[in-house]
Amino acid sequence: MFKIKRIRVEILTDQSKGISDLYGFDFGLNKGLNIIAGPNSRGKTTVNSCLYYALGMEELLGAHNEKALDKALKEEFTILKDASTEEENTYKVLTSKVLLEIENSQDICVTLERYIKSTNGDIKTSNIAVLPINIESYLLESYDNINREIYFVNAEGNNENPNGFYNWLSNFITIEIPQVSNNSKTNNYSPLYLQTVFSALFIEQTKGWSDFFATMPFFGITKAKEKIVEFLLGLNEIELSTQKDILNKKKYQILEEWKRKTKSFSYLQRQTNAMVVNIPEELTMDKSAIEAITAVFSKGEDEKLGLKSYLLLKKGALEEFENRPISTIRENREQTILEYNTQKEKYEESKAYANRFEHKLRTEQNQITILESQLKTISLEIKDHLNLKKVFSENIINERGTNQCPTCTQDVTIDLISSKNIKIPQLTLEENTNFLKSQKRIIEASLKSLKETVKEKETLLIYFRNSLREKEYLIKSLSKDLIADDRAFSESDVVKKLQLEREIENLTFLRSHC
Amino acid sequence: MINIILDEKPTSVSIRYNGYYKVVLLLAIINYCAYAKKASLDLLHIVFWALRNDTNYQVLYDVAKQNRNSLVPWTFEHGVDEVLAIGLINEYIEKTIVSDSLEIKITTKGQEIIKSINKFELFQEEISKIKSFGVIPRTRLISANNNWKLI
Repeated sequence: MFKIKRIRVEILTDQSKGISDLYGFDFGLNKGLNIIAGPNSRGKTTVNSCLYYALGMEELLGAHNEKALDKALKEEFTILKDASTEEENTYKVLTSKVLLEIENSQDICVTLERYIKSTNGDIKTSNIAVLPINIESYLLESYDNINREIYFVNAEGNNENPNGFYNWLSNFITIEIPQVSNNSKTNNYSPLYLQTVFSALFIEQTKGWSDFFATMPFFGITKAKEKIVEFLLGLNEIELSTQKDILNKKKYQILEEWKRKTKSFSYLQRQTNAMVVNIPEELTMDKSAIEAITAVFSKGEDEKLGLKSYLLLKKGALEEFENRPISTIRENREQTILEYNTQKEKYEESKAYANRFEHKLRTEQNQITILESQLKTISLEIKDHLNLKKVFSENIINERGTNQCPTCTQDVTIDLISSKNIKIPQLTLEENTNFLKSQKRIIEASLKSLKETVKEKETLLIYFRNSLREKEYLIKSLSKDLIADDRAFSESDVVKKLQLEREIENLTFLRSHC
Repeated sequence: MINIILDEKPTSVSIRYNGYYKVVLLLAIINYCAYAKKASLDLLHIVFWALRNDTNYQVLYDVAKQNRNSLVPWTFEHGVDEVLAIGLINEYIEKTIVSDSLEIKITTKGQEIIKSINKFELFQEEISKIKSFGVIPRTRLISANNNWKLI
């Protein structure tokens, strides 16, 4: 908690007679309700915006630093000289600053000093100086004798860094800012930024009609409005809901992983001619359901065997081969023709599958190339956006500079895409940078998962090609058997034996890893 | 009656359609590619065209370095008129007549901007490309422009 005791704005103009000839205002504020009333265009809003500016909360007014303030505070203002003739005097602002006296619950009183316009290059409008005295003493003391602690407002870490102003302010007003879930942060957490909390204390005169918290800046905090209400009312919920957000994020990651794993079973099936059965439809932690997932192998049309029995069956077949002498072609002729046809059919089927698989893989590899080039373009765009923002923030080019023809006073647009008749609404530089950054994150995420699947599929493709080659060998030896001398030994038997040995080796490997 | 209100939703538009971005490039082009810091409109358009992609860049680079004496069909840059207007109003550039043709000259104020851009190392990718062309002599550009080849 803290009290705002006094606000003072000092403006030195080109018509000031000395440094003590100042314009501006000075109001003392009392505990409880304070009302500032007056006719239109007399500066009620200016008093209010100076208050927010001194507290580093000008972001709620829609801009950073002095840009959020009225031109009367930083460029020029007019004062009516003679009411009857409506003659006005224009004053150009040379330097201006706002002083705000605040007191915390331990009765410690400080003055916040923030420049609106300064001629001294060392004084930045993005910094706030904290003075350990009240405004009364400030006015009596000479400027250089006052001890100042400088804190920064508009830069990364203004809530967490020891030199960040919000960090100082939250310590001074003795509120502990909780950590909340944040989608923009890689570690999932960020403080409940003080600017978002202050948006609950401010009803802006235009946006404020539509919504509470209408002025809240976007920082990626999940359900920020709920979080602020929970925080302000001191509800326990804030911790729980933050944890819930993080857990939800984790849940989606696990679900995604589960889907990917169960999908990869289908490739496993292809590799081993097996069928993976009992896959639960949804993610489960039931151990028995997971243990029930098993691979079965077909023996004939209907009969299905488990890995162990299938391995035994294959071993038996191999043993049979080893125990009998190599048969001649005559003995096997009928069987060879039959086998030749079946193997050919199987080969064609596998070849078609492998071709389809390869085609899909090529499409995905193409997609990677496209995504990579998009990523390059987006990264460049982001870089240029940041560069242009720096051009404005360093005042290399004045964003609000002249864009009116000096001869015909016609406006010259800086928007090169819209024409006289068609106006295309565009995101601002800041909004577009954030938009592009989120696009970049999406592309990076899809690129990462696409690369992983492509890598897996490339390995599978090699396997498919090898298995096709094996089938080719067998078909070749079978066809050789069909045209060779009947008395010769059957070559296909030898090939079959070799392939059987390899299959057993593979299955044994699989079993040892189950 | 249902009152239908059509609301305009802002869209994301490339920085290549931002006038100030192009002003910076324009100043860099005049500063690094133009003889005596005065650029013809042809030069401005063609360097902007070369910055659009790597293929275009290579063509102009080869012309600049005398590795080729022809150009491929190229197009004018969109929005250069507006960019010139912004530059003129803000006094970053000025118009000048050199042997009966209009040329654009960079002012001291414009050169200051390029100095600051380099000081803060901004737009270095684009600026290093522009620098790599070096000064492209007017005659070389005219003769290449009179000699278009498809590739």
